[in-house]
Amino acid sequence: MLARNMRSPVILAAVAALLIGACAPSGTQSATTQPQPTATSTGPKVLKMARNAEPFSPFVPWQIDDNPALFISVNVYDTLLRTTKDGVGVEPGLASKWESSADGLTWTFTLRDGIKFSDGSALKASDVKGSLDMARGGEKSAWKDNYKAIKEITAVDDKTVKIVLSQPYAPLLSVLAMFSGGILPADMAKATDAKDYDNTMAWKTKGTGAYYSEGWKKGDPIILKRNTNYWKGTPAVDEVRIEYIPDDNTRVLKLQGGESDLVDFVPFSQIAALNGQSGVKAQTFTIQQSAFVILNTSKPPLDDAKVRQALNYATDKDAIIKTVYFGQAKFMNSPIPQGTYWDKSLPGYPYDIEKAKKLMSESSGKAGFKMDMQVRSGNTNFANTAVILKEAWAKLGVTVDIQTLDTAVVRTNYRAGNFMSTPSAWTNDMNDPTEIVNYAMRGGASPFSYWTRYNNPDLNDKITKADLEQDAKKREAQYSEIQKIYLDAAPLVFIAYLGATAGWRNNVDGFFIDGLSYYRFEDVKINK
Amino acid sequence: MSEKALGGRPLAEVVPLSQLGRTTRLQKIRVAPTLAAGLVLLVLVIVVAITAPLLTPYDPIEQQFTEAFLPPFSTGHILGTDNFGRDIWSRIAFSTRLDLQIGLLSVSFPFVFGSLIGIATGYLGGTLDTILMRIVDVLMAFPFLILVIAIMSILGPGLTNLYIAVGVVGWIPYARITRGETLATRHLEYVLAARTIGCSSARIMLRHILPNVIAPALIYVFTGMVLAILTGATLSFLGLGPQPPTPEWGAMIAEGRQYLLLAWWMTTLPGLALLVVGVALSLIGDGLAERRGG
Repeated sequence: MLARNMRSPVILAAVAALLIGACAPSGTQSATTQPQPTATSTGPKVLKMARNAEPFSPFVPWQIDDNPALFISVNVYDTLLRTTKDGVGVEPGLASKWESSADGLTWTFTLRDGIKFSDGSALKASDVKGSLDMARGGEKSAWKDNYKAIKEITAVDDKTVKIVLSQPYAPLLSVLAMFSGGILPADMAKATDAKDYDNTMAWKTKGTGAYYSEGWKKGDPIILKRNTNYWKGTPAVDEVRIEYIPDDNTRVLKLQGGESDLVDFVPFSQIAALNGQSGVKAQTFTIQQSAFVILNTSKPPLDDAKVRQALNYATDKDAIIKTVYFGQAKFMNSPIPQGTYWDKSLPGYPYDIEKAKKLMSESSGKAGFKMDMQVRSGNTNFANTAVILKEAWAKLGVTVDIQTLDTAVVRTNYRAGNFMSTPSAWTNDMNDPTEIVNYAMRGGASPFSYWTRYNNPDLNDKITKADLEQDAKKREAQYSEIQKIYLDAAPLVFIAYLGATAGWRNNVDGFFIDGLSYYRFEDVKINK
Repeated sequence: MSEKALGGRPLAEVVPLSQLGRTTRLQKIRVAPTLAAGLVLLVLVIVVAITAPLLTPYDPIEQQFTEAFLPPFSTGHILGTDNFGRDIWSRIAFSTRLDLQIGLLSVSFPFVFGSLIGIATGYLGGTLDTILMRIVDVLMAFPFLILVIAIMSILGPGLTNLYIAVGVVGWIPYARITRGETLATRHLEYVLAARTIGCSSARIMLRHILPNVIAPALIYVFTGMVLAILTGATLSFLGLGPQPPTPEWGAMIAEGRQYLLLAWWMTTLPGLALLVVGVALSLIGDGLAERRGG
């Protein structure tokens, strides 16, 4: 009995050692056990997509705060205006034209003719009012702050919406182009705010977007059906089937094996290899995303700007871009991503170890110090960045203590201020810098200047002024100044601008990730 | 007490005790190639652990970006390099120290503590036995790894906490093994005799029972070490073990996983190292068990 028991560890050891690396948690099992609709030349055209994460927010545009849900949202719910593909400008969406009063307080939007929801009912101005009222005032809206300048929304007639502001608000059009302003039928929008509203109901959608969903539950593939009433014309692909495959390698293998037509989040390390193979393509799209390290400026010696600048200069961005991001990233020269009003003339902190040593020797950290760097477990890019920084900053006498923690723990810690540094990343949700500037640079109140606890009252005033300024040229100058002040104060260690990656089979045409990292299936075709 | 003292009666028909022991041992070694193979492997691993700095010219955590992703048998890097250009052989060799240490340290406390608990409960019985065995039942009801992960997530990641977590859970098998043996031993004549001549319970447990019941627990130590090393590797894999850039096999496997299609050696080679140590310890355990059982 005893002797027999002894043998199991041998087998256990052998199996575990060989498989621990190869057996990643993945959804392949569920995917293979379910019947897959296969597209033939005669049958419906199905686009099979494998994605790295599944949605967790309720599927209501203004309640969404996770990428997987918002990527679906832009395909289902249209907004009054749209962000242009490059992510910098705004173009007509449901509204074909708009005008403002001379004082910038009253805005009138005219809806396109003949727009219908996926069930065939007509879109009315009252639906726009109903939805936007929920986005700006609904109990469960996650994005209320963006709409606080709006005093009143009225449906003048079926095709005209009037928005009155309490004060001029330059980012208004960008806010209306954001996914959180997606338009639902007015009664459906109202129902989502009820206390006992069942969130699974939201997955039976009724939008004006190119696709709609008849329902979804966690673990299943998301199935999007094309909206034959779509105002831009019926999409070429009948059905998009999105399954959840969290493991990067598995996703890539599914693409190579032809089980998936399209995959997102291709590891940076595999872009080049995939492009060398026949039948598949992979690409990094430019999006407004940046990667950096948050420093807690309330913890000495990080309260000394010279220490923070020294850490910035001692960070070899090129090494990180090459080693962590495999060249699929760019040097971060400004605190904001490469979108509207991004100041490309700013110098950032080019790697200069001598300058870093000099700054450190003049600072309160000259005797050397120890700091924690809290890394979210499972994020290899952040972990690899931390490993490089540990070695790099040791040259300044800084001992980095890497702590791999659960994402939720890291989040709790940085919110409470129990950290010295943590790698992080930011993606713009709208094409106007107001979002990142208010989140990442305004101090004094939550989120405390991206949890850095950096608080510069003078900069806070400048941020408020920039929101009120109506003249684009003057605003640009104001944002340049804001970027420069924050860059010099260095509450972050600025590293790189990242891209979004995807891979697809050669028969897929027209897939595009726009500047805000959304992708729409309306222009995607499959050539069989 | 020598034979002479007993009255000088010749003991011709009785094989001297010492000789009996020797022939038995020789026979067992001959029939236990498992044990021999295990010992040879383990000695090899220990030599690597002790001489790690002499075996490789590279610092296991030194980054050399220009040499990243070199495959095995590249010039200067026999087992290749990882994504930071660190030498894989050097990392595996240095990790041997850490993993053996994990195996040894996280087993020694449970072994000592668990065995003593087992003997005490087995010999004394009564309420103590009931209470402790119910605690054992409760702990047994949890899957080992889940319990360790739960403890680790409360204590936080790191090596010391790993020892604590494995220690808190790991004593149970030892307690169960020695308790069972003690129950079988407590009514044997020599125990009864010791009690008759007035030995205290503590003396009986430590001097008379312990030497006779410890062998199975000692054999289980080797299984426990394999489990501990695998647990350590699993926790590292999940980010709860030794923190980067410390070389550790489980962590190396986890780090390499992202590059599996690009650099298979980053994951496979530390996996093989884990396999070798696991097999060595298991063979020794098996060999010892065969000796005892055979």
